[in-house]
Amino acid sequence: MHILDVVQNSVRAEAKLVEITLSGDQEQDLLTLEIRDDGKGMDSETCARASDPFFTTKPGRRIGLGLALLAQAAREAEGDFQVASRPEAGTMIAASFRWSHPDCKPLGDITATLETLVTAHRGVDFVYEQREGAEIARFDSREVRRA
Amino acid sequence: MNLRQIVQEVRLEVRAGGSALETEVQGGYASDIISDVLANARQGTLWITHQRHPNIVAAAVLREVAAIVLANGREPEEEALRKAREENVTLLVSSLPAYELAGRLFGLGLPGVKK
Repeated sequence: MHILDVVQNSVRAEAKLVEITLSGDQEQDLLTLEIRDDGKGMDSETCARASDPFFTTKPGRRIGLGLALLAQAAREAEGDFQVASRPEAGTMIAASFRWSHPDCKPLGDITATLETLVTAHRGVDFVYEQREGAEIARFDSREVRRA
Repeated sequence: MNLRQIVQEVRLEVRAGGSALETEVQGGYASDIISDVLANARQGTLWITHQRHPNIVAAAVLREVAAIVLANGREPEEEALRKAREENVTLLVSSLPAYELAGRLFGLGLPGVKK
């Protein structure tokens, strides 16, 4: 579900905390992925181009497909994609999908994704919350590191 | 075999990048998964896909494919067409289903990409 790619942007934006929320709503047939970080954020011009595949802030590169592919995945599953950011105020990426849509991407191995994030970025904390109806599963790397 | 010959043989329609039809084509690759194309498509190959999004143009630029071919009568999105023209990426369309299109290209002597 592109989580690793999107979080790479948060890490490059010097985020110290990345919060990932995955919400499934069967009644509304809606799956929503939201990634928030406390990184350095983007100005409005950069934010507006964030999902353009021919735009990237990576030095020496002209093409950046991370957010572009997530936006595409959302659109293919009759969903929506939004980026909200302000300089020094972090960034929020939200992608929604019609859950039952045949082109809705599989979630992949969330446990392995979190393991990769936590081990690869020791200076960043990650909170992952998965909600479906009344059920909530939560992982907070700060608790793991304290233990 | 160059793109112009392939366009004529398989009756493809040129939507963008018509100035690069003398480009020699080394083979073909068929995939609708962009990450797969980024990992496995080769420079100078023809890429068959159903995807119509501007991301295909970005992937084509990154992998330096000879051309993108949209199969099954699919047309590129307006923004994909604009990007393809801007980047001089050859974008072709075919009314043939991807399976048949790949078969015909293979029959012309264009091999698949070997890992």
